[in-house]
Amino acid sequence: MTTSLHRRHFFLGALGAALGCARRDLRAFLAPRVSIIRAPSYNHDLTGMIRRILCEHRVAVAGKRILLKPNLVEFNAQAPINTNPILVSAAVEAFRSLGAASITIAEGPGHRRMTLDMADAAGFFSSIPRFEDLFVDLNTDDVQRVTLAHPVSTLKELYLPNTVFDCDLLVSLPKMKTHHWAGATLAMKNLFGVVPGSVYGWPKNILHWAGIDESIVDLHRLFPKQFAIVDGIEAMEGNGPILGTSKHVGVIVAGAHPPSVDATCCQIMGIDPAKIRYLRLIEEISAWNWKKTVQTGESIATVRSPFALHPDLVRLRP
Amino acid sequence: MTDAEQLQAMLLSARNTDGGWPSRRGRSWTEPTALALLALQGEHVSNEVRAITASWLCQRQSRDGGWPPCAAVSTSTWVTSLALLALAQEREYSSGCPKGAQWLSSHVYPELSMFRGFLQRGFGIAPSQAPGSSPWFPGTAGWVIPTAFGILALSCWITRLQNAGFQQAIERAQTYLLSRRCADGGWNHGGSLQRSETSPSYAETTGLALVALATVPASSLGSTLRFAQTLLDHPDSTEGVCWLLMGLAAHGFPRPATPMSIKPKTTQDVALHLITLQTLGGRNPFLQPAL
Repeated sequence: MTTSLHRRHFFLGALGAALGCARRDLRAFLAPRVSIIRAPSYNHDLTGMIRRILCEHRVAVAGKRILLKPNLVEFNAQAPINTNPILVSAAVEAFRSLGAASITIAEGPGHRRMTLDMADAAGFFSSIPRFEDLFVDLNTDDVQRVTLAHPVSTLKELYLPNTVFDCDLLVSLPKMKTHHWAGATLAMKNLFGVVPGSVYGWPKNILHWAGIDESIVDLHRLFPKQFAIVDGIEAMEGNGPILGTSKHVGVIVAGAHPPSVDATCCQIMGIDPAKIRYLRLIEEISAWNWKKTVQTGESIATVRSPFALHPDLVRLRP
Repeated sequence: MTDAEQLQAMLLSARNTDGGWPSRRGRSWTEPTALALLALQGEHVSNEVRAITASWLCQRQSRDGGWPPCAAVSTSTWVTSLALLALAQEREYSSGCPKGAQWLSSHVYPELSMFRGFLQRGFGIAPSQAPGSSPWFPGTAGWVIPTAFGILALSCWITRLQNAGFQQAIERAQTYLLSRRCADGGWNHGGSLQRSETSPSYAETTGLALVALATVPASSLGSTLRFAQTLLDHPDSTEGVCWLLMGLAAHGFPRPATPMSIKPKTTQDVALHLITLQTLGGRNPFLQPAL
């Protein structure tokens, strides 16, 4: 009797432990994964790094139409305002080497109207072979009307460029920067650049009126197939996204779930993701929680480098 | 071939088969088409090209009197100013312009109500829809570029339409522009709540604002004209250089037409370059009264 009970207990215990482990494994398996890769400078093998990231995340690239969306804001090639064109060039090479059917680079800057002159001054023409053939100015691309199904913002519809819908994978390539309104501008905020200036102007003020954080969420939800690769090699701290100062972090942060990528970047920047309103909004409308993100490669602790914050944003510290 | 002839050829070769122009490629849009027509009006092009372009613009006018940026968009926007400027020299195609000018003047934000004025004076809360400013897209904040184009379009039509309301709108808009100068003396996109007052000026907005302030005495502009000349020493875009040259010329500081060091990349670039050459030759198409 005693022996039988012991056996039963042992068996049930073992079964419970196995189920527990399986649940943990399943949770870890289902949790969004974010890669943190050290990249000390733009002179390193960025193409190889991005290739490895894409393979690690099992991103389906072969035969797919890829749209790379960097952050191009200003003429200045020295200040860390724009996504570094060397990283964009590396992304082009990485996706090409993995068999992408086509690669388009597209952006619609939010302040200045002369996108191509800006891209030229910022080094995109010199860094990316055949840049002019690969590039689409989203501010002047042909548009279509898109109805927002369940908007968080006050937007009911948006006119958006055809190019952003003519792709199989939208790759957000933002610069890691502080932002005087949103707290941080990363993979999700980068999608403001898909809203066409030729319809809404420079800046795209309709998004401000509809609620910046809410608009970030609405734009994110319009594009279910995304991958994010954040340029955190030379980042921007202080009064970002334009007037801040350079901050060397030396990382690339990447993943298929932009909110998780952004939450990871925030932690690296010394910002509490729970205090970033657009991330909170995502939590409210989905089952996602930033704490469930699984980081691979470097740990957050080893690359954390708290950013100087504008006085209005010090409240975002953990 | 002269520079003007080359630019004209470039412009004509970029035209779509429907008679309008894209910015670079794709379908025709109101802005590049209106700028192309303005540029070609000062050149020796066939009447047929002008007529087809003017007709394209006429057909795009909305029922509310304004113009949408392209056929796919149903809302009238700031491009109404450009359509009004371009059609002002095409009398046969300008019957819709009085309604367009009305639409435009109704989108110059009015003076503040007593309550909002109190908030601004008492608490320094500046309204986004600042009096005298115009938005890019209806219902949003006012900005420098749409406001400046609004001034040019209403000024163009004021004599022909004899509308006293236009004069008030122009004066309010000019006051707005003068209030949104940056610390360096020029203009950027022009938001005050957007912390842009500490940002540096842009060449294109500075030049355009100077054209829109052509009737304002130089004494009101302080160091702005000198600053605009320094911006020309570091050209960053075709649009920037063109607007600076036009802005300086509007205030009696014509600069010789030097070869453009930056390659024009869009229809707007080519058209503005042609218009600038015409301006330096003595006739700025943006400052001509409607026929």
